Amino acid sequence: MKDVSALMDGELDPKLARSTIARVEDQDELRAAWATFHVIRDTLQGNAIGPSRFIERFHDRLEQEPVPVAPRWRIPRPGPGALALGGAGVVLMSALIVWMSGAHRDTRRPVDAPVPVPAAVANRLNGAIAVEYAMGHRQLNPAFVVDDFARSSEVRPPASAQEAAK
Amino acid sequence: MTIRHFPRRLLLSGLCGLLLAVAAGPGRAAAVADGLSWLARAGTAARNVNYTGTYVYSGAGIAESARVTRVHAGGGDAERIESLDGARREIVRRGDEIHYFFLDSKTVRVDRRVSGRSFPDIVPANGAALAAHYSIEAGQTDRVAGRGVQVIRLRARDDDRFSQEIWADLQTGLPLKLRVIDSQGEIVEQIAFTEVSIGERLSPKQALPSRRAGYAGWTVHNAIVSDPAVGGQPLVEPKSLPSGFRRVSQVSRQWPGQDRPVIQSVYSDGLASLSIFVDPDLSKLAGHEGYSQRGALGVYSRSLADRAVITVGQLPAAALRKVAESLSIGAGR
Repeated sequence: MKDVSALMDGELDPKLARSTIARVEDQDELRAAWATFHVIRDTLQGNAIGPSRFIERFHDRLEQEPVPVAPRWRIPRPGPGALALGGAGVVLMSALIVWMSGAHRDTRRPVDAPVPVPAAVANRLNGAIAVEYAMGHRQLNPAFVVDDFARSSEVRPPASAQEAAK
Repeated sequence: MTIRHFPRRLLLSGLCGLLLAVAAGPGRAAAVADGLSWLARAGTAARNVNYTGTYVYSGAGIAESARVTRVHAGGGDAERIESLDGARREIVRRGDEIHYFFLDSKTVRVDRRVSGRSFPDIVPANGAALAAHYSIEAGQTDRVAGRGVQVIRLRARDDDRFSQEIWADLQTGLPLKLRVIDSQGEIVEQIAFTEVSIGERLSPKQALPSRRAGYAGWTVHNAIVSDPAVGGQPLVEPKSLPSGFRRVSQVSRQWPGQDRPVIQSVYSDGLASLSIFVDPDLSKLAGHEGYSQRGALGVYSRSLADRAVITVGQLPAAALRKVAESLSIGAGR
C-alpha cells in the first residue's frame, strides 16, 4: 500500500516502480487502492469550486474494482487483549476516559442504564461507540472528529476477499 | 439521499407565533418580528458570505479551537476546518464531499456530508418554521470577536429539545456565537469566534488542504455513502419522535472492514438533529447498552433483534432515550 502511494507521488526508483505497477495490475486490493488514491489526488488538485462529480466518479471507479480495500475497524474489548493495545491504545483509552468523565459532569439529569453492567466496562464500550458515531453525526465539528479509528485500524482485505484467496 | 421539506403548516405556525406575540403586547411582538427577521438574515449570511476565522467549541468541560475558512465560488462552496488543539486534524469540505486529514496518524478519511449544517451555518432557509417549536425573539446587542452582534433567542417550547441563542453579526448577519441551553438554564455547549474576517475576497485555494502532496504511506479510509439498498435489511423506525422532527435523509454507509452496510437516518426539527444508526454488527456492543453525553450531544446504544442501534443527537438525555426506546424494526422499503 505504501508503495502504491509512493508511486503516485513519484517517490519510487524506476525498478521498484515497475515491480509496484506489476503488483497493482495483479492484485485486486492494490488496484482498488490505486483508484482511491487517484480520487483523493483529483480532489486535492481541483482548484475550481463547484458541483463536482466526486461521488459519481468514486462509485464508477469502485464498480470497476472488484475488491474495495478498507482499514479494519476494531473496537477495544475487555480482557487480556486490551493489554496489547500499546501506546496508541493508551491514547485511545485516554480519549474515551476524557469523554466519559465529561459525560458524568455534563449529564445533569442522568438516565439509568437499561442493562446493569460493571460501570468501567460499560463506559469504555459505550465510549468507543460514542466516539465512532458522534463523528458520523457531527461531521464538521472538530471537537467530535477524532482519529482513534485510524489508530485502532489496520489495513486488510474484507472477509470475502480473504475467502476467495483460499 | 432523500430530502423532505418541512410542511407549510410549520410556516403557518411561525405566523401564528407572531400573532400570539402581537396579542401579548406591542413590545413583545416587535421582539418576535425582529427575531424572525434576524434569523432569516443569519441563515442567508451563512450560506452566502466568505469568512475566515478562529472559533472555540466548549462543552462537557472541554474546549477546543479551530480555524475555519469558507469560500463561495462558481455556484458552490468549500471550507477548510483546521483543529488547533490536540492531534492535528484538518477537515476539507467541497459541497457535500468531506475529506478528513489526520496528519499525525497519516490517515485520510473520505466521507460525504449527510447530517446537515454546522456552525456557523446553523439556521435553515425556512427559519420561520422553527417558531412552531421554539419561541423566537431578538435580544440585546452585544460584541463577539470585536464585532457588534444581535442576540437571537430560540426558547424550546417543550422539554424534548434544547434552547439556543445565536449572536448574529450586525453587519452581515453571520452567526458568530451559538449557545445551547438546557431546561434548567445551564449552558451545555457553546461555540464562538474569537476572531473573524467576513466578506473577504478569498481564493478557493484557501479552502484546499494545507498539504498538497506527499501522501506516500498514508492510509485511506472510505466511508462510502449511498442511498440505502432497497430490499435489504428492514429499516428501524422510531415510534416516538419529538414534535416537528422529520426524516431529512437516509443513507447507507460502508464501515471499514464490514461487508454489510450501516444505515444512517437523520431527523431534524430544522435546528436540532439526531441520527439513528443501524449497525448489523451487534458484537460492537459486546452485550452492553447505555447512554453517554458530550456537550449537547447524547449517544444511546442498544440492541434490537440482531442489530446494534445507536441513536445520536443534540437532544436532552430523556428525549433521546425516549426515541431510542421507541425504535422497532420496520417493514423495510
